[in-house]
Amino acid sequence: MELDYFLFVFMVSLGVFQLMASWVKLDGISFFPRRYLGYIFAVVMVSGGYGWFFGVDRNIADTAGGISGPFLFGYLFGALCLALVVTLLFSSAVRARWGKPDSEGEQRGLEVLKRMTFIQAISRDLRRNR
Amino acid sequence: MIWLDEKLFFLINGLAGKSEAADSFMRLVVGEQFIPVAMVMVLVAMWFLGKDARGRERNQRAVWTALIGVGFASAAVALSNHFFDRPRPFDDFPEILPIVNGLFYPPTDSSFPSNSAAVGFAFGMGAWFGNRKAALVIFFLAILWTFARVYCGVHYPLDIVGGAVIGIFCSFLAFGFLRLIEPLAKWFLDIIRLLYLA
Repeated sequence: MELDYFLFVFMVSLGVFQLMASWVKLDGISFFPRRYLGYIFAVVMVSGGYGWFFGVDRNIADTAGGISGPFLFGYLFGALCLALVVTLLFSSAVRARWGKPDSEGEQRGLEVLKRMTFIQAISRDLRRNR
Repeated sequence: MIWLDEKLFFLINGLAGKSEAADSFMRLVVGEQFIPVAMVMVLVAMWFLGKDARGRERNQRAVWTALIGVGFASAAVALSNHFFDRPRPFDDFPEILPIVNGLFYPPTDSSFPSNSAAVGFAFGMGAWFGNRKAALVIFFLAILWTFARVYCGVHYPLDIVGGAVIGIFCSFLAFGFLRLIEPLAKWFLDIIRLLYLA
């Protein structure tokens, strides 16, 4: 049950991150070269995650093998963080040749990820501070 | 008041068992996973939204308000359980226990106030401070969740109202708390921004 719940939140989070990457045009964290593919991926992950997880009855008391409130929060937070890390690293890997790390524009925050990947942004900072 | 509460309860709970489709849907949304995860995903989406940097920061502050509000609300409900011990509807009316068992499991803590309502409405009120459209989606989910709790026989309507009041109040409290610690909140967001995550 715990692993299922963790995977469910992970799948849905991954889908929502790609949905927002396409919607807000944060190409630096997108897995795909075309935005519509991000939307398709989001629909598949969110509906697939919900469909798979709730394909069986999940209304189980924590005294009978279900997950108690604090653990629900813990697994949710953990899965969300893992999905974020996977999004940042995987998008940086598949788009390694895409970004423009030396381009002009906003130098801080999420806006930067419209022009470069996460790893490119971090590497740029490390080069500047050297 | 209690009489009206019980009458309203039976009006809603009386719908259970009439339609297999409605029962299946309520069985799906009544638990602690379906709707809470959806609410959190709305907050995740909110984190990225905003016409400009200021709009995005307002949304991100609202996400923090919602999360802190939920923390306060959960603590308030846990504390109130020391003072209130209202029996669950299926304890007062054992004849509905088969309905509860068919749709959910019988919880053992106090019926009043509803933790689900407190959490759901705290999420919604917190989001309201940044993005009203996202907040309305969360409020809709909160209403659906809490309606399902009454439908499945685990709460009275008054438990929901009590939980909702606590949740909304706690998000206002969280809003004030974030203002109170203002330089800290801004520094925290700035650190996240340095990591390109805000």
